[in-house]
Amino acid sequence: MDIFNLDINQIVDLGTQIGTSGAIRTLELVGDDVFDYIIGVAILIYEIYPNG
Amino acid sequence: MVERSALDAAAARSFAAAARFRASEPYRALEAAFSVPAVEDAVVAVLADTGWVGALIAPLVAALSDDPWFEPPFRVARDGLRIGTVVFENPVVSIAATVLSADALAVLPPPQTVVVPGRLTLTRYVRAGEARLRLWDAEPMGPDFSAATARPCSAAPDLVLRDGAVVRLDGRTRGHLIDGARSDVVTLNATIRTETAPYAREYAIETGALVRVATNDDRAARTQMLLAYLRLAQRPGAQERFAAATRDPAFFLRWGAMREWLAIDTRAALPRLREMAEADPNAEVRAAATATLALVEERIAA
Repeated sequence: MDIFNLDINQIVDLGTQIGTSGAIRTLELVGDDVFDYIIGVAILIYEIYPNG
Repeated sequence: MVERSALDAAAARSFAAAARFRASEPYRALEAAFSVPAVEDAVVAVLADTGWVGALIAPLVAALSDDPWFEPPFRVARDGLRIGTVVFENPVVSIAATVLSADALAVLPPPQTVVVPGRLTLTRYVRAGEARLRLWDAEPMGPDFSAATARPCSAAPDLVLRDGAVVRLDGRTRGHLIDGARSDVVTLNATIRTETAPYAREYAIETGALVRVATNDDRAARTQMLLAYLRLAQRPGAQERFAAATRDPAFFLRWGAMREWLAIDTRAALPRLREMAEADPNAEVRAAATATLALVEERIAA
C-alpha cells in the first residue's frame, strides 16, 4: 500500500525556529573553518537573494 | 611569481612547525592543566598569570620572522571590530586572544541586539581600555523552551573593566557587550566547551524581546543539512538515518528529520509520527506531530 508522500512545504514547522550553528555571531571563536565558511556563503546568498 | 614548489616547501615547513607547536612544553602544560575534573578552577589558574602566552607563541614568531611564507597553526577571525586567534583548543577548553579596536567601536552604530551565547567563559582583560561591560540576564533555557512563551531579557548593572581583571560570564543566561573603550581592549578569552548550552539566543536591547535562536551543536546542524540532502537526492537506504534522527536529543532536529522523512516516504514514517504525537518530550514537537498526523489521516481517509 503506497498512499502518498507529503510535500515538505505542507508539513507544519515548529513555532520555535532554530537557526543553524554559527547563524548568531558571538564574541567567541568557535566551530571549524569549513563549517563557518559554508554558513558564511549561505548568509551571503540569502542577503543577495532574500526571496530566491 | 612564486614557484609552486616553493609554496609546497613552505607548507611542509608550516606543518612541521605546527606539530612541534602542539608537542611543545607550554602547549602540553595547558593540556595537562585542563585534564582535571575542576576545569573552571584550572582556567582561573591559567588566566592568573599570562606569561605562558609569550612562551607558547615565541617559536611561531621566530618562524614567521625567518620565513615570510610560514603559516602559524592558528585559526584567525577578523571583522570590522576585532581580530582574534585561537591559541589553544582541545575538546574541553578553547582560549582565544583578541584585540578589539577602540576606534572601530567608537564609530559603530549602537547595537540593536545582544547575544546570550550559551557558553561559559572566563576572560582576562589584559588591557581593559577603561571599557565597561553592559550586561543582560535571560531566563534559563529548559527542555520545553518556546519562542512563543520566552520571557524578555533584562538589563543588569554594568561592570567597569580593569587591566588584569578576570571576568566570569555564564553566557547560558547572560549576554554582554563592550562599550566605551578609550583604548584597544586586549583579552584572553577561555571558553569551557563542556559547559556549553545547546542554543544561543539573540534579544532586542530596546524591548528585551527574543529575536532568534540558533543551535550551538555543530553535529545537529550538520545532520539537519545532510538529511535535507538525502531527501533531495532521493537516496535509497536512508530510512534508518531519518528514523535515528527523530530520536536525537535536539528537539528541532527530531522534528526536522520527521519532516524530511514524511516528504520522502510518508507511509514508512507514519508509525514514528504517531509515537512523536503521543510522547515526544517537547510540547512543540508533540503539537506539530499531532497536527501533521491529522493531515495524514485525512489524506488516508480521502
